[in-house]
Amino acid sequence: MAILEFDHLTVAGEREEILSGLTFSLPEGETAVMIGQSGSGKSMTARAALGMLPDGLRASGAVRFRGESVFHMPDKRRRTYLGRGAGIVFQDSSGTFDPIRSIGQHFRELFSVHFGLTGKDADMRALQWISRAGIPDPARAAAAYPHELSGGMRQRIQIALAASLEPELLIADEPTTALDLNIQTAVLELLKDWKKETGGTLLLITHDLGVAREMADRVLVMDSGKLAEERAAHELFAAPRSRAARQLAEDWRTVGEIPTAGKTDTSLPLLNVSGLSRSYRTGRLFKKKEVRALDEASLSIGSGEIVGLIGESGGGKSTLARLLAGIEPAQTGTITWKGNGNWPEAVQWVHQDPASSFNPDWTAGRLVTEGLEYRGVKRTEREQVARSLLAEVGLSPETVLQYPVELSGGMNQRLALARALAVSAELVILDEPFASLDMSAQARMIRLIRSLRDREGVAFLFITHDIRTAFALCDNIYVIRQGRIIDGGTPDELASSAHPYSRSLLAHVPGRGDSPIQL
Amino acid sequence: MVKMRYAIVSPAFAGLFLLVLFSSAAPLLAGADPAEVRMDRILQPPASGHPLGTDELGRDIWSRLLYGGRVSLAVGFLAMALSVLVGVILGTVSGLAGGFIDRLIMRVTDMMLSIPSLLLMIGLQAVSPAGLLSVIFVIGFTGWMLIARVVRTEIRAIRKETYVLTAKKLGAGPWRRFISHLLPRLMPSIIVLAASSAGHAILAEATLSFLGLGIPQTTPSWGNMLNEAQGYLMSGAWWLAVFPGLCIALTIYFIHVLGDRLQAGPRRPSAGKERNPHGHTGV
Amino acid sequence: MALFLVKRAAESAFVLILGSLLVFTFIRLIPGDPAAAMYGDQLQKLTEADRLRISENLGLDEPLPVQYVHWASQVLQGNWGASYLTGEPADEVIVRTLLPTAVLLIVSQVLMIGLALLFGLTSALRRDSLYDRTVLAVSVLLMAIPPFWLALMMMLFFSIRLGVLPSSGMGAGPFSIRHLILPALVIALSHAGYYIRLFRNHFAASSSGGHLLALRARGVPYRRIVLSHILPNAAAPLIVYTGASLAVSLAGSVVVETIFSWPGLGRLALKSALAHDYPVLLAIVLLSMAFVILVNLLAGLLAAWIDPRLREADTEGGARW
Repeated sequence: MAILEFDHLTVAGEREEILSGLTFSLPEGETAVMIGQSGSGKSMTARAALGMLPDGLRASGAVRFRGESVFHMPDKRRRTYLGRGAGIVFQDSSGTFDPIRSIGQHFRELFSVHFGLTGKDADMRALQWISRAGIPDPARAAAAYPHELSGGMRQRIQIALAASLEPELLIADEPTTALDLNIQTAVLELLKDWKKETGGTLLLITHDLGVAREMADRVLVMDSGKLAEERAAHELFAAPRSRAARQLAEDWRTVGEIPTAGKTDTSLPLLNVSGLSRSYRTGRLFKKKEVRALDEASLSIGSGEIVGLIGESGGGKSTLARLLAGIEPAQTGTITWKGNGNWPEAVQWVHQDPASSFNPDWTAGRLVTEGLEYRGVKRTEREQVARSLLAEVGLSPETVLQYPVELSGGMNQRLALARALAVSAELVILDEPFASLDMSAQARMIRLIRSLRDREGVAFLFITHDIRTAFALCDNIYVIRQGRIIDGGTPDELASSAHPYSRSLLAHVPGRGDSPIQL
Repeated sequence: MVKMRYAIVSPAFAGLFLLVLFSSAAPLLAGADPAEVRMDRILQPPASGHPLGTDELGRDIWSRLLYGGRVSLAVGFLAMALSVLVGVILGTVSGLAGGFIDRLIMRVTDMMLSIPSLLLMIGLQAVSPAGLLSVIFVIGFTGWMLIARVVRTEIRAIRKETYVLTAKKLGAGPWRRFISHLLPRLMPSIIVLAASSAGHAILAEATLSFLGLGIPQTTPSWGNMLNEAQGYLMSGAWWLAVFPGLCIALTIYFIHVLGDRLQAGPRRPSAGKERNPHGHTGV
Repeated sequence: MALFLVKRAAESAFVLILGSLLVFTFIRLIPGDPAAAMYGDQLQKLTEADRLRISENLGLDEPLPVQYVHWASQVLQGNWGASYLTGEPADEVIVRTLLPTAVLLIVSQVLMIGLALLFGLTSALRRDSLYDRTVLAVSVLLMAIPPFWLALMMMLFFSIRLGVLPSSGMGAGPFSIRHLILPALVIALSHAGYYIRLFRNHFAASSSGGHLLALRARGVPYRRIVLSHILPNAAAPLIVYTGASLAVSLAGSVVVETIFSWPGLGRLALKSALAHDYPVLLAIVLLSMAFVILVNLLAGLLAAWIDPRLREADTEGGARW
């Protein structure tokens, strides 16, 4: 019997429909994965399932939980449905905790509301759930405030919070996005365990086909607010039928495939780094601590080469990026640019959140030629350059008059790239460029970066926690851990590396080892 | 700049404009000499001839209001300009310099804020020579603290923004970054702060004059008129107190509404935190 | 938390020292002989020997920093000079006014915070409704009305027209509620507008966080969300602002006490200023500054106790501009 049922649900805003006639049902005990590009209506589906649509939207049709309409539940019934009937895990783990309440208080509140459980019993149960989430020191985590935990820990606790109410249905909305791969794996494992232990129903929402393959019994493909395809997982991955599903599969392949033709080895050395170190002083007045963020790092980048730098968050990737970009000075070690000591503006930096690297009051046209403006290039000339640069990164000429907020994440990423090209950058540092992009936008960026390298001979340093995209894009990859570069080589060499850390990173790629997705 | 236009096309701006216009055109509109003493018509209630009545010396209240407005508005505006100048300079230095200079400026700011503003003004007034200039100076000098604080906070936030770092990387020098990125972001806050500072200054002038510590009694100002009115309240001469007070309240009301519009801009519901929770020192 | 406490206390002490330097500068700015400034007309009655002793005590021939230290130690011992007006020691004159001012401040402060809480919260929960807009409009109106004018108008209406409330003094006995109503109401109302808006904006901010959606999605009842999440989240900044409001109300008391002839500190301050009674005036400035700094310190510590994020030290260095 279906536990959750969408019956011609249409949700519309002022101008357009966000969901159009959405109809599907979730059989009890199944894991259904909903995939689709960002903006295809996935998150709205999750909110509709809870009967918590944002204000100002009109809805028609019905959503039923065990036959009961969730939009028409009396308040009291709804409060048990939320939490006990359906639990939810959100993507953004930092925004879903009350910042001034400890983790333990979050659990205690739910236990008191839903089970009338207080005092020692509630504390005990909270500790149990925290430790079941795989948190090493539950008592300490219970006493901690949300901002004191890492993103991965918070996400695991968020799952524990939802699971602790023993819901029949668990909805997880992009629970692994923006997490390191090994933490993604841990989070997915946690969801699998929950399913195995309780036999509950899981609705997982993701843009990552790898995650879908790893988890799904059944797949729901969303496309512009409509259900494009709904089939058993093995059937869909073997032969996707709908246009949306095929596009997703192709993007997935682009992101995951290793290019056949590697870069010719005639490239000249561009940047040589040797023995670079950097420490930070942290902590309070009396217990200052030195943290070694970068420890004797050495690497080299040739002209027109795409070099990857992979590792977990906190491993020293961003520190290295800042040093190479010249934003911070190194303490020891040397950076050699084309043989001599200084490397000026030929090294540019594309930030992981490109919108934040734009003055929000400037139009895209002005931003693209920002560097030229500082160099005193005339306005008419700049306008011409802007148009051709935008075209080069695949943005339409109308973009000139738009502001960064009006552009999507992927478009902003392109804009930042174009701005670096405007000052004739020879090396562009890409700092986690894919962190906030969905799979399709990632695929488009990968194609763009490749073509820029081929046409303009620009070299890239690609910093990421995502091994998969690094493999797809890079000629050479360095692995960094705790400030040290511990492994490196071409993707092929790395794939067969003996280094245990490299091997463990590779093991965490979701969907890896499954048979290829057909087109 | 959309916000500027939005603020200017508003009833509050029109009201403020009228107040300024009437005061500037005082000689044309007054009808009577504001200083003319006529003992034969003292304390007359509003009637034709003297639309707002006369005071204890038989002077025409309407004329005194117009001329008083000139003084009150001018003092308010000049004191505001002084506060904004001092506040913006100190806030900018504090925010850009950081380190010891920053801490010192901020502690001085804290210190100035911890003396109840009116006591500070009274103290300063007590040791300065009487006169219009010293009133302007005292009010301006005691009103810069919140401006400095907000400007400093904003600068510290802006300077850490990625786009400012990126501009450096793209070859923009310190002045360039200041002019292109810092100042334009700061302007809206400065305008809002200036508005609230003007309201504050007008109120401060009125209060000081009312207490007899402000503008010399011979010069008509709204505060001075209220000071004189106080003695005749018991005898029921309400018009002495009501009209100047209304002028002050209206002016400040318009300024506040204007400040709100400058801050909010069109079509953005007033949700969320005020961008600058600038306190008020109240007098 | 302990470290935070020490740091904040040290900061406050530094601010106090800066303030005392300012007051000291005042003394030097006062026209005439500083000995006269401190002892007033009494100086004429003293013998030559006494005067010499005073001059030596004040260390007027010493360099300025030494003079400051002398003066500060005198102040710390409670020697604040004598009132020019009455010849009494300044501290005695001041102490008499403390109780009336305390009564007035506490009552008006409670009234003001009560109004701000009530209207701030209710209108934040009904954001952009007619009620919300009305509350905001009335608050702006309250902000625009000069406190002294409000006092005059209330007096005109309640004391003169209706004759229901007394217009001056404290009345007989320790407390007279009837005498207290008008002055307390004026102080509270004239600052309520600003604080209603402030509270409303903070409550509005704390009632739109993503964690509230998460709480609702976990089935936490609305009442509970308001009481144990929205209110406490807004509490920390509001406590800080409430602490700061004390300086404002103290300033307000000058005007209100003068108008209603309330025998408190504010009225004394104005009387001293008008009579150029510097010892008393400077003592009042110094005292109220110390008091305000103390209250702000306590408010800051209380806020940090509620919101753990505030305890985190501001450690960022920031690159050179």
